[in-house]
Amino acid sequence: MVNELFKNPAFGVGLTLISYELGKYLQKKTKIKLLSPLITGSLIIIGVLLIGDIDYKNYKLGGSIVSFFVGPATVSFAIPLYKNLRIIRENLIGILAGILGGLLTGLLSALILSRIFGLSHQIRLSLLPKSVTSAIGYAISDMIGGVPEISLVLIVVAGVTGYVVSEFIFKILKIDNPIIKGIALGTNSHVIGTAKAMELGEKEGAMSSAAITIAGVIMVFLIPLFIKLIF
Amino acid sequence: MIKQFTIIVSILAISYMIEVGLGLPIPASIIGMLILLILLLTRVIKLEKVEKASDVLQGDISLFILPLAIGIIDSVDLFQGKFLITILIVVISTTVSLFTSAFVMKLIFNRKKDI
Repeated sequence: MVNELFKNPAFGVGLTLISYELGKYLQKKTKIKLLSPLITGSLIIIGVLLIGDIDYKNYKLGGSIVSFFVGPATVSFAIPLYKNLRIIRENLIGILAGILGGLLTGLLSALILSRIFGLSHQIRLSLLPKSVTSAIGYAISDMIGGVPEISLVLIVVAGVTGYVVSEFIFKILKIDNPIIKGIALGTNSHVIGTAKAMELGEKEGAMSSAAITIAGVIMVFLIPLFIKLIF
Repeated sequence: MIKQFTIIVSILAISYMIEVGLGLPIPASIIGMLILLILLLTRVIKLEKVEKASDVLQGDISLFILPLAIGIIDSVDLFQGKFLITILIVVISTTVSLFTSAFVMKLIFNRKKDI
């Protein structure tokens, strides 16, 4: 009976917008960059649904309207790539090697560790796109038979990890080249890593956004191949 | 702004037709991205014609992803109590791969300098 009250798309759209704004506000107020509105926002939405005993189906009526925009957003990833094409062309081999090195190490280490710890087949598959930006990672996970929702959570964790450890790693390796910093962050920690790259500098940020797109496209082909050969 | 969205969404719609029509194993959104990149490179579409919409879409991508993340409610059981271990694996794997990325590029960029 109560659920009838929420059986309209405005409820889901409204709840998503409010939770997102609340999440952004919390991030700003606490000054904790890691507190992504994706984490706080989903906790708020899940909380409201559980407490109000509201069907997920009812939320989805509006939720799917908001998430429609993931598609156009992914299409628009062409733009950071286009804008940085000149720098990428000039450093193509180094950049591609850095991206592929990171992606392959990420895939292999995730596979080996998840075997050691005996994770289920589905979780193991869902782990693979963890370094890919959420929009593309969700699609890849769906494509290879993972659980896209789990991949999303792990994608956020990978982003936060890169945000935290990157400066330490750059210090150990004594890296001051902004291209290396940006590409390493965008490849392995997507959008959240790019936030860190932007803090480091404009060039780092631009390279990181471009790396998100390149790494994402490579993974669309690399992950199915990896599964076929090694998984 | 509406014009800019029209261009991007039309490309996406065509990409779905390509994906389904040709039975490609590539998500339509990626096909669309490649199409847009080609259109930009061949100057069929000017950067200014899509740049604003792109800034809006990418600036708030977390908002659009948010409803997808809620689906986790139905999937929590799949972790079989190994949630924390899975998180730990992601942390280790990401640290190692970030290190490798930076290290490989350092080797290549330094060698280029020597030559």
